[in-house]
Amino acid sequence: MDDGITKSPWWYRTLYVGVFVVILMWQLVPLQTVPRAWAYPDLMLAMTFCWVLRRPDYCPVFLIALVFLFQDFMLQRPPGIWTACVIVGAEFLRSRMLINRDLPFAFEWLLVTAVLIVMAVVSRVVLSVFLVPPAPVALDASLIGFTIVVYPLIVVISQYGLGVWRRQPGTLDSMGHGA
Amino acid sequence: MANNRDNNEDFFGPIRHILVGLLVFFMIAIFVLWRIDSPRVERFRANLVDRFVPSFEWVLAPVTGVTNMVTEFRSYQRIYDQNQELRRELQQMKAWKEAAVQLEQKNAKLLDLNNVRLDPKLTYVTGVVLADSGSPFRQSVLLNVGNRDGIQDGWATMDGIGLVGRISGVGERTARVILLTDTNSAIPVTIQPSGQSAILTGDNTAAPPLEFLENLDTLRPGDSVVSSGDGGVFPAGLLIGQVAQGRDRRLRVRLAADYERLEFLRVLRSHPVEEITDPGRLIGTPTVTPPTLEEPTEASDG
Repeated sequence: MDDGITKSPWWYRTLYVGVFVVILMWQLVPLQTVPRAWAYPDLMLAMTFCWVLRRPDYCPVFLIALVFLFQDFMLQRPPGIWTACVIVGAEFLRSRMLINRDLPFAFEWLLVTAVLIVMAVVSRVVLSVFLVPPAPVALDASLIGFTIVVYPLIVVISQYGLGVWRRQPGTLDSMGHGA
Repeated sequence: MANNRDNNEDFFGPIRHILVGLLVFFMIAIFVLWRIDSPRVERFRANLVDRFVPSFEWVLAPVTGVTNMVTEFRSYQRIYDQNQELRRELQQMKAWKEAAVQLEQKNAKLLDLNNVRLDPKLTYVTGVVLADSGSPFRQSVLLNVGNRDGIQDGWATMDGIGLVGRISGVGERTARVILLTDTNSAIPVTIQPSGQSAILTGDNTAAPPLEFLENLDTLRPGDSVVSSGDGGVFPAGLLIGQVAQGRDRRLRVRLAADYERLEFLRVLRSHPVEEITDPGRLIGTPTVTPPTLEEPTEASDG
């Protein structure tokens, strides 16, 4: 069941970056130059949270920081602030990983929802404190809303498609480390 | 056992907390730096985009092409209706064309009579759209022309018909165009028959609103909006669109440029207008002789 044992975490780290690059390129393809009132879900964010809650060793905090900072720069966002929110959110989830392991998926989903909403609110507040003109509320709300909606889908893909399963207590990873 | 403890420290140890704290601090520092010294960070951003995006052109181009083909294929389903519609439009266009040809001749005659010279310096560079902003929060596109083609910040960009935006952020091989629909875009415009000036401010909708209008009574939907050239941002007289009333009762501009399909864009080379610093030079010829002549007469008067 646990395919991750046979593969090195570096394989998954590379995969993480690979998925990021594909998503980013898809976003950059100039198909949508007319402004629209809603935003697509942030798949990368959903995937990061999903992996952090399952196999924290697959996405180390430096990798998350690098990926999201790069995304900030490429997508014309104010650099840094969203990355900081993502790091704090991911670290919070990482610290809850062991507790969360024994709870049903609904709790995880609720937790992720709460973290996403807090992140969006905090980044909006910080932006308004620094007098950066904020994005329309509908855009932010739809981004977070859709991300929450697709989260279970991302979990299913990560688990069944990519083999990112939660490590069961007592199993060892590739380096011989315990859970 | 030792391995095990290392591993745990990797995830939850105090050193890790400090590292994460530093990382967050670093991110916030980048944000604050961006807020304080935006041009420097934006230049860095332009260079980063310049490095990354053109190297993926081989992926972006086919994907864009295939997706456009799919959307076009979908439009084949309505081909009969479209055909009828096009025929109707063609009839109307023929009438318009006749009118346009006559007007063009008249205009040429009048220009000739007045001995008007159109600015010969107004040439353009055409670029291909490489990428869009990637998120619905920003409205911009990336062109495949940059510093090496002599593109400079602030130049106007048009598609075949109307103004699209202005250059903001130039890399070596790429340049970013901030579209008129972006919230950072504000452009002085003139509304044609009435000659009123206003500011066209993007607000992330397809039809940006007009602001700072003086007299709403003289405007009516359908009036044409052109760039005014105030502030030396753009050359004057570039077509932007038509006035229309939005659903929120605000006056907005229906843009003339086809935002659905931005493919090839023209970047207009604008040259800085000669600055007039001294009001006296506006009137007389800038010769040096008058003051020397005047001084003796004043002395003799006194």
